[in-house]
Amino acid sequence: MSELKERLLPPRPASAINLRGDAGSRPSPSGRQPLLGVDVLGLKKRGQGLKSWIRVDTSANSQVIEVDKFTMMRRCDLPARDLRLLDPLFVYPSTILGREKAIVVNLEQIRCIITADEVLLLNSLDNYVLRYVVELQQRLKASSVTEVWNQDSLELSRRRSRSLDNVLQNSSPDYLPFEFRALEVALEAACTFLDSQASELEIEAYPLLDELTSKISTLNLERARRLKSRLVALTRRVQKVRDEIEQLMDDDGDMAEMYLTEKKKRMEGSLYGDQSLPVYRTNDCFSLSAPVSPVSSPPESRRLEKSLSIVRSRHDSARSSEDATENIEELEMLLEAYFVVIDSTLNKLTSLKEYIDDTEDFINIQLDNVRNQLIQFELLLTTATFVVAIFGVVAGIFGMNFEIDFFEKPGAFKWVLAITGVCGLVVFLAFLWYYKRRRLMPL
Amino acid sequence: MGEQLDPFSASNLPDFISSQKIGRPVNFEGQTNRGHPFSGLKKRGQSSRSWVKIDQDGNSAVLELDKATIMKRCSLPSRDLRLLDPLFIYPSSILGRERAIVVSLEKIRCIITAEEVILMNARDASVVQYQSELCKRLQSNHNLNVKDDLPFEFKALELVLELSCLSLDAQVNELEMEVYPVLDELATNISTLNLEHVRRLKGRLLTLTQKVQKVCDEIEHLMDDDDDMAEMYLTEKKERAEAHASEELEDNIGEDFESSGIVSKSAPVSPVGSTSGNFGKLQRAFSSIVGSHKSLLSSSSIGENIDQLEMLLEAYFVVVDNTLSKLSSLKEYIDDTEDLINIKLGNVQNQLIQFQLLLTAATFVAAIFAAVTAVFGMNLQDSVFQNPTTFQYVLLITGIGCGFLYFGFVLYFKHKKVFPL
Repeated sequence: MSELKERLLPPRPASAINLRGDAGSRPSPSGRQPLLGVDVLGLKKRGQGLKSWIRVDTSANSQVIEVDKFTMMRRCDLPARDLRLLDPLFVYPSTILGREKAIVVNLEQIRCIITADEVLLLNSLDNYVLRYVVELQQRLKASSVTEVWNQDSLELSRRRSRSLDNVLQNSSPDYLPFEFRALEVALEAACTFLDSQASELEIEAYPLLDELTSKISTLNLERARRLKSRLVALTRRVQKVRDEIEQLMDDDGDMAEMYLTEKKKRMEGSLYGDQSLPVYRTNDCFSLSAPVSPVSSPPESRRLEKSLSIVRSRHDSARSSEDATENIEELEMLLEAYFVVIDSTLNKLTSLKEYIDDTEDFINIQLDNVRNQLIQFELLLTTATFVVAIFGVVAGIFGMNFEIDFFEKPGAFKWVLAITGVCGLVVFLAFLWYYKRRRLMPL
Repeated sequence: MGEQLDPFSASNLPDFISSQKIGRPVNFEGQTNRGHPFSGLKKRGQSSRSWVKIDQDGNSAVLELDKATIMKRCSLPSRDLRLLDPLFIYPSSILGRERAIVVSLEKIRCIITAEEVILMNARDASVVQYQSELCKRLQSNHNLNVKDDLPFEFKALELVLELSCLSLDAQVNELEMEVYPVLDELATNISTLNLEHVRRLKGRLLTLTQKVQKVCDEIEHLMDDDDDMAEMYLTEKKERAEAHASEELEDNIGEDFESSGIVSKSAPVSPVGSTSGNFGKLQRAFSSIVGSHKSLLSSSSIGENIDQLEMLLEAYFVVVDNTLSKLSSLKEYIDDTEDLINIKLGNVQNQLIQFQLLLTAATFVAAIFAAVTAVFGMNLQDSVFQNPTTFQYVLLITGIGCGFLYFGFVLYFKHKKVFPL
């Protein structure tokens, strides 16, 4: 029953009270429900209430701020429907969205907005949120020390050749932009949480199935049913996270859009170059009004080619292309690592589900086997009862109160008993032989 | 079903009524019978219908318009308006036309243009909610002067999607809260009443799954086709048409304008045709550098704006997909419960056969006793009957023998492990 209560809690309590009042299924409850939901939404919109957020910047400083929805929309340049993903009132599935200036992350318990400078985390008393903040701060502090060392190495390597630069860049995998470090901590927290839940379910499932195999009772069957429903819910969540990561990896445009730091640098570069080119401003306006897709970057390179010299444009174009390829691989490596983890968790759950289904099939076969044996024994007993009934019929015939000469003979009693016994035995053996010939008795 | 038949043809009326009666519930059948004469009257009289018009500033007005006026106003063919007819149950659809978007989602049926939303007036709570919410949003956006970067038609479309997703999600939650107690009751007490409850709930689950699947497929179909999405940018198409008209005025070629206007009225113009025509005219009017510049700008603009609508549709596609996943989990939960109930019934059946086996063994032993007593009841003469103490010996030996035989059977059954108790 606790499992049922746990499942019934995620729906809205107000709608639960309303539904208990209704008797039977009518179309009017379905008409009433959207009113309740929209009223909650309308109330929030009317109040424009402040919400508590935890802000973590690139220097690992965290503070709690109170901002309303419009301020948040302006700050991160997000539409209202993206902020709805982070609303704790609605249970949305796990999502990772890349926008113009922010990445909206909704993974299990962690709902946050990652920009190039800061992480805005929806504040709650959940342990996972606090653990995420602490973990992120630790990583930022550790990687800031590494970054200083890397910068020194980079300065040294600039005096040498470019290949050394590549080797150093490959040899230091910790050098990631800020938004990918925050995203990595979120992915790690989500995968760890789901994996621990899957392991917990496994630890509980195997003893229960063994107990169900040894003793089939109503209590064990009920516990198996609740276990299966929990397994289905967890599989759905893991599948959603896995599909989200896979969808990101399949789309290079979506991955390229997530490079907030590079986009910010590119925008600053374009602002610097704006003074010499008045036509550039028009493109800048378009860039501000809508997210820039990779399709629009070829016109930009063409415009650069027109205004600058041929040699410089070739150099810039080659460098930009090289950077883009490397950076997409960078994010792809990050996502692939956690995709492998979440795929392993999904495989574990799939194996557990197959194990449960196999156990149920085995129990069904066992029940059928026992039933067949019972029916066999009953068949034998029924046959024996039939033979004994024949014996009774013969004895009853000679027990009738009619006077015949056969009753006066001295040896008739023994002869009747002997002949009836032999005939009964022959009939029984004939039945057994027939059963064996038809292979009804595999024993 | 309704699309194949012509509902206004007189010869098809009996077939239409009979086909409606077969697959529809009683309530809807009554509604169909009551509404159909009105439809005939409307067809003959060309009577007006009540609509709610909402403009960009959030003002709403009730209009009485007939079908021809709506077709002329929004440049829609007659078959698109049939989608909005409340007499017929059409599946959910979102259609992008030349100057309008025809939306039929759940209970909200409306036509969205670049300046206004024409909403089918009804007393349904969803329609009233949509009307008040849209007016409120438009007025708040107008007052606060917040630049949401969405054109008017996408604000209206977003609200339709939002209310539809909320409605479907509420129905799924309601069904969930009914299914879990009924399944628990079925697990404890397998009766005809509980089985009937579960059967009806599975029917409702299937119907709801089809509705959610249809909405999901419609949004996915829109997202997969870039041309369909590009055709929905009514504001941009309107601005492009105005720029086109002004350029035509500058060129002072009235004949081309008339021809283009006629073509525009008869059929929707695809973006490919619009781009090529625009490019051709620009090539004649301006120099090549400015022409290529504007073409690049237009191409870049189209790419960006398709992303805008794609973001909007993707957000609600995720919501509907989550609802569909919830329904799938619910169906799997029902199937799991049925499997375990089958195991439970099999277990009970085995216990019944066990008791039957014990009774059959007892019947066999009793038959042996009856046979022995019948043997000594025969009217044959023998020296055994002369001895008076033989009677006690016969009863004792037969009783003890039968008792040992029955006990032997029980031990044998336990040895073969067919008695798990």
